[in-house]
Amino acid sequence: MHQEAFLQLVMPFKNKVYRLAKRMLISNDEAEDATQELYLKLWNQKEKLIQYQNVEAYAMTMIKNYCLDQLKSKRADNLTLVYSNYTASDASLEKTIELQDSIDKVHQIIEGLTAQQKLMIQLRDIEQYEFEEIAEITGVKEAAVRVALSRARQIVREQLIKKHQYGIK
Amino acid sequence: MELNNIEKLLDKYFEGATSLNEEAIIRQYFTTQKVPAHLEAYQDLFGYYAFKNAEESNKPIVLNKKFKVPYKWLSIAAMFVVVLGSYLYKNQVDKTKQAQLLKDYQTTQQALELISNNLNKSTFAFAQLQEFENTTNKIFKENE
Repeated sequence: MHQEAFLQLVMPFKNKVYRLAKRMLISNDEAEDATQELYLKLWNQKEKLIQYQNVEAYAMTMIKNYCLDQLKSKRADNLTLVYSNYTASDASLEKTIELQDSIDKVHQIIEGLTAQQKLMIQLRDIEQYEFEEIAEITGVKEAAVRVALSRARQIVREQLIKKHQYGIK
Repeated sequence: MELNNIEKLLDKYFEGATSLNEEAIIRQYFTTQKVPAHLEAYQDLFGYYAFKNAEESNKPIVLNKKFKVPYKWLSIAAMFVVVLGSYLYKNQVDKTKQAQLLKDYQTTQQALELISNNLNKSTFAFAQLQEFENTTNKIFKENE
């Protein structure tokens, strides 16, 4: 496969890959690095890519697994995890506060979800994937995806209403 | 979109039962118009999702990042380095040898010059002495 054909195949979902990495790794720079890393991996197995029916779902699965590995290796070094987590979320908070207070509010609610719930919200509500695709990417059965997603949405709803009422009173 | 319908769709959404199409209708509703006060909280939510969906990676992807070492050319280059190196080294050694020889030659020359100068001096002195003897001989001959 030539570079041009390869790029045409894989570049349309670059931002989706990046956004999922950012959702999981929090830090902007780490998300960029992970995206670069994923595309190198795809490039190195470019001949194999044609075999996949859904290259995008395949890439999303790969970036999800890559980010999980990154998080695991960070957890092995507890100190850096705590430190980088703190600075990273702080930086992204600052950014969103500048943009919009409401975005920051929702962001905090989503960040409070479990890793799996966050993943579901990211894939469905932000990237608008079908349940079938989400099942493929996460390796979870479709029915379980629906359950996890509705649970996540309900938590978000409760928190949202709580915060909103607090803001009015 | 009627308010009643939107509220129904919202409930369906939070149960996780909406299709992508229905979710698109909800998104459209909350991101494009003013909504009643009791739905304002959801405007934040769908505004956030739309905002997050618009985020983009700013770093271009580099595919040929890894530089492959060309071993074939590397060995040829190494050979050149060895050949050139030994040539230059030999040259250097020759030069120092030459310089040493030149120095030795010059020292010898100086030494010889010194000797010949001193020799010349003594010859001159002998010549004077000879003259002295000639004169005395003349005197003594006349007295005889």
